Amino acid sequence: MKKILICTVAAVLFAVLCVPVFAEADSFPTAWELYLYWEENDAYPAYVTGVWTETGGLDKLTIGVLNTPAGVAGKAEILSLIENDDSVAFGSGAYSKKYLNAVMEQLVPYFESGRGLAWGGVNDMTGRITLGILEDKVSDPDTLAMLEEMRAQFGDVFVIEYTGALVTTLELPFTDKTALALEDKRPYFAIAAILAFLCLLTAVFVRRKRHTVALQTSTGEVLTDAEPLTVRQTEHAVRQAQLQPSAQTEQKIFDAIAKK
Amino acid sequence: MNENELHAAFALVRDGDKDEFAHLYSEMKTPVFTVISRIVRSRAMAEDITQEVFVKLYVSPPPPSIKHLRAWIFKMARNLAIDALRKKEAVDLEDAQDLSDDSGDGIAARMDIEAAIAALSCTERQIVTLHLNGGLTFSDIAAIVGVSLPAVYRKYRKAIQSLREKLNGGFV
Repeated sequence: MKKILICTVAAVLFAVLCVPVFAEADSFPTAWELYLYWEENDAYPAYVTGVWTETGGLDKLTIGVLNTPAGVAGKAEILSLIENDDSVAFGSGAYSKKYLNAVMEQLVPYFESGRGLAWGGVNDMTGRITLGILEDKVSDPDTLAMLEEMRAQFGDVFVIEYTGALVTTLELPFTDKTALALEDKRPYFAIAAILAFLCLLTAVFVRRKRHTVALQTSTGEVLTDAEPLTVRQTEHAVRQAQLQPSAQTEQKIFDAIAKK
Repeated sequence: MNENELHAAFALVRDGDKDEFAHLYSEMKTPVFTVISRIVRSRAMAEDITQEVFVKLYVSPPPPSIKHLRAWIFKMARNLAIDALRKKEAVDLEDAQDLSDDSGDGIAARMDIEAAIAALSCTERQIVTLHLNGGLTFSDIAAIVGVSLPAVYRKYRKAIQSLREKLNGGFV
């Protein structure tokens, strides 16, 4: 009798303590759902450096993790959260996306300073922040001084882009002489840019050969001409195809309210 | 209308400001009607429920203690729509097609979004329209529809994939 009582108490305790834990551990079917959860709740773990797709679809997302033991442990955690392991691939990045978002917020004064910083954004694929510098300010001493300040404050978090070239702040020229040397290399960047553009044109041409029906929303907006809808276009279509109540309904509502 | 604008509008509506209510109606009528229509799949029912929603909003506006007013409005709209559906479980695809404006003459093939949405399950329709037309977060939707957050994500993804396939004529 005593044994039965002990077993019963143990079973009840187990159930009470474990059920909430199991409920919390509800997993995500694919990496896409996990990504949506992180985005919506601003809940990126500290070891994640970014999320992107290398397949052009949502069936498989690449999640960048830090090149540290925390990143390795993070991979295991992600795999334990996702039911379909084939929906995720892993990449690596230098800095946590959470940290990069925080750094971006601290860059506002630099954007407002008019010292040559044209734009900036977190690049998920590199795990760094890409900064766009106005071409005519590339060798401007004030712009270089600003970048040096930023390097002193944030280290090599940034990559700088101008005429398509990417260099980290550690590689930046802080003298006019080095800046001129970099300018000499620009024709190569131009050739690379032209080649990339030609590849893009080819890709667009190939895609347009895939004929599907022309699609239009109920409000008359043409969504696609000769290509299948993407997920984003599908969402856009649903968002745009809104419905309006009739004028009679509106009249009935305001008649009812007038009597109140 | 964002949350701050809704709070400001309802503060005036609670004092009986009919002009502010008219403004609120003009801003919210389209998403509210769209969400209701996609749940009940009948224009006539949707018109009646929309009328009920807005009259209720004027007669008994939400108290200031409600934080997420947008979610609160859509929760009321959704609940009334579900109640109406339970009372009269009906509506076939023809009714659903009545929901869209039929102004596509001369177009080789016209996308019928409403028909595609009508083919989703009731829960999927609610999730898709509350998110895309109501502008609610998945967390709000999980609370309104009464399913777990991961389940909302899962159903949303499945629904969008299904819509894509239908709108693309089976080709993705």
